[in-house]
Order: sequence, then structure tokens, then C-alpha cells
Amino acid sequence: MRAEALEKEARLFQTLKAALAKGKEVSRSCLA
Amino acid sequence: MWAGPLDFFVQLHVTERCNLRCRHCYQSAKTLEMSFEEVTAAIDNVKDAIRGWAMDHEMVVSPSLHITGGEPVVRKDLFDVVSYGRECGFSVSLMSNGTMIDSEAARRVADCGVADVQISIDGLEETHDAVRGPGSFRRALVGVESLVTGGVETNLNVTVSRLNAGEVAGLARLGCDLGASAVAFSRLVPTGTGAGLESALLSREEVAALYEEIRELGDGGGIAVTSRDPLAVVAGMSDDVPEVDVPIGGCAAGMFGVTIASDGTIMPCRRMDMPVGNILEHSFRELWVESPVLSALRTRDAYHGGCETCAYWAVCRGCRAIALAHARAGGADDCLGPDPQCPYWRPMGGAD
Repeated sequence: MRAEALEKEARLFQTLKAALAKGKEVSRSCLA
Repeated sequence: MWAGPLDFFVQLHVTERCNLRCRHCYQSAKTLEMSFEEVTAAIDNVKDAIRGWAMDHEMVVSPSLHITGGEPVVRKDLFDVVSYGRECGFSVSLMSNGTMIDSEAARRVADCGVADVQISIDGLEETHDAVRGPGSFRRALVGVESLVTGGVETNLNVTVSRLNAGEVAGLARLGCDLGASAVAFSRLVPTGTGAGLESALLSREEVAALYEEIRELGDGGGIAVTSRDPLAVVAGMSDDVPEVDVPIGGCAAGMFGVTIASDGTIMPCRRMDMPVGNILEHSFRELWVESPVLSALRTRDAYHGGCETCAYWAVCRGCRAIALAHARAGGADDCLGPDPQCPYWRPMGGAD
């Protein structure tokens, strides 16, 4: 894993965790 | 504090061979088919990414593998693939047309630990057979009955369009009579073989009426009548939506799910023919984070034509596959424009 990719991944998951912490539980699968 | 885990699904196409020739099929051309060893390598590749996310970022994922085709039952090593997926920690589901499932196949499905099976039903008998071929309705029902009798959780999935939108209540009753757990509705995506079906797409008003009817049916008849279409989810949502700039729900493309085609091609969604690499040639983990297509799908500012200014962007984004098909019908190769069927756009600036 390249360092730049690892950093991008870290930023994405950090942002995602912060957003998910706002508490709105919604469907994350559009499969039926 | 969000505790997780994060749902993440892989729609794995193990073949493009199929015993039916449906009018609306999203597949068009035949491609290579991975060997069993290649399929297990593909599953390993995704498993390694998930393990890396947990180790490096404490991002714990609840992974599921949705095995389909073509018709997955034509593949003789299907149940070995299911078993391997389960050994790797995935919850495994099957998506099938049901017509090749008899009591013996149902027993094997139950024995190998499949979580649930989704059978495609595209209307009551006359409509279904017009879409999927004469006799296919009754053969699919034999499949559903065999699975239900065998103790397998079985759901019906309806690709909904003007061809069958008037049969929603009848299909709910059918599912109930068959002992299915749910009847779910997904909008038609006019791509692949079904590219000529643009005129069968529901209007915005018809979409709103459809999801109102589905909400009213709910689980009142002893069966869950539902849709995971992002628009259906928004239809039942309060205005209390976080206006964040990262997807937290809705269309899974680019964020919560991925498709692996039968030749190993990775796509944001099977109905979005936008290859981002091949699972047999690349690290899935690197592709997932670095692909320009996947990155754009998770970036609000990359969208245009409506979704980017909508209060529901983070929980919806419409159906990107329908947006792509609509754009391609107009000559543009663009998956980030508006979902042409959306009746729910609401300006940002409300509750947060």
C-alpha cells in the first residue's frame, strides 16, 4: 500500500466516522 | 461516537451464462468467467482490504457477498464458492431467477449456510413471462416454494417500471402466499440489453406514487414490502438529515459496495459499466481508495445538475446507474448528473 493511498484512506475513514457519529442510521445497501 | 461496524457488500458475478433472455437484463456481452481458483483469489483480495481497514484505521466492516450471474446456479462449483466466502467471514446471499432451483438444490443452499436467496419476479404471470420468457413465472415459483420449504429465507425482487407498476399489491400478496420474507422493488436501469426501455421508466410523479404505495403496504400483510432504492429511503425520511459531505447511506456505488464481474472487472455497480480495474491484477484496497471514478462518487462537489445541492445528498445521491444510463442516452458518459426520476430534491440549509 503506497503511503499516499494509506493517507487518503485514513482521511476518508476519519471523515466517514465523524459523519456517521451524527447519528442518522440509514440504509447503506441499495441491493434489494 | 459511532461504534460500527460498517456494512460493505460485494456483488460477485460468478458467470454471465443464463438460461433466460430477459428483456430488461443489464448484461449485454459475454465475458470471460473466472475459474474457482480465481474466484477465491478475488474473495481473498477483498478480505485483505477489509482486514487492512480494521488494522490501520479501526474501521470494522460487516462484509456480505451477494453471488449472482447470469444465473449463478448454472455454475457447478457454486456451493464451493459460497462455502469459501463464508470461511472468509462474509455473510453470503444468492441472487437467482429461481427457475433451476428444485428441492435438491434448495437442500444444498440450506446446507451450505446461505443467509438468504433473492428471486427475481417481474410481475404477475402474464407480465413476468412477457419480460422473462414463457413458463418462467411458474418455474420461478417452484424455486421459491422449494427454498421456503427447505427453510431458506427467500425474498422476491421486482425490477419496477411501467411494465409492472400496477401490480405492486398483487406481488405483495403473491410473496405472502409463497411464504417469502419480503418483496422488494428496484427501479429499472435501462442499460445493457434493457437500454431500449427508456420509455418504460416511471415519471417522477409515478415514482412518488410507487413509494407511497410501498410505504402503505409496509408489513401489514404479514410480509415486508420494501425498497432499498435511495429514493424510497428518502421518501420515508424526516427532514432531520445531517448535511455532511461524505456519503453515509443511499446509493452504495463508490462507498458501501462494489461489483466484481465474472471476468474479475471491478465496477462501482453492475448497472454502471465503468470499469475501475481487475481484481485479479490489482490490489482491491488500493483501487477502492484511489480510483478516480470511485473517488468522484463519494465527493459532493463532483456532482452536478441537482444532487450536489440537495439536503439528502449524504443519504441518497439517487441511483447513479440510472443517472449514467440517462446521460448515455443523451450521448454523455457521465455518472454524476441528476437522477431523472427523483421527485424529492430539497435545498440544503435545513436541520443539521
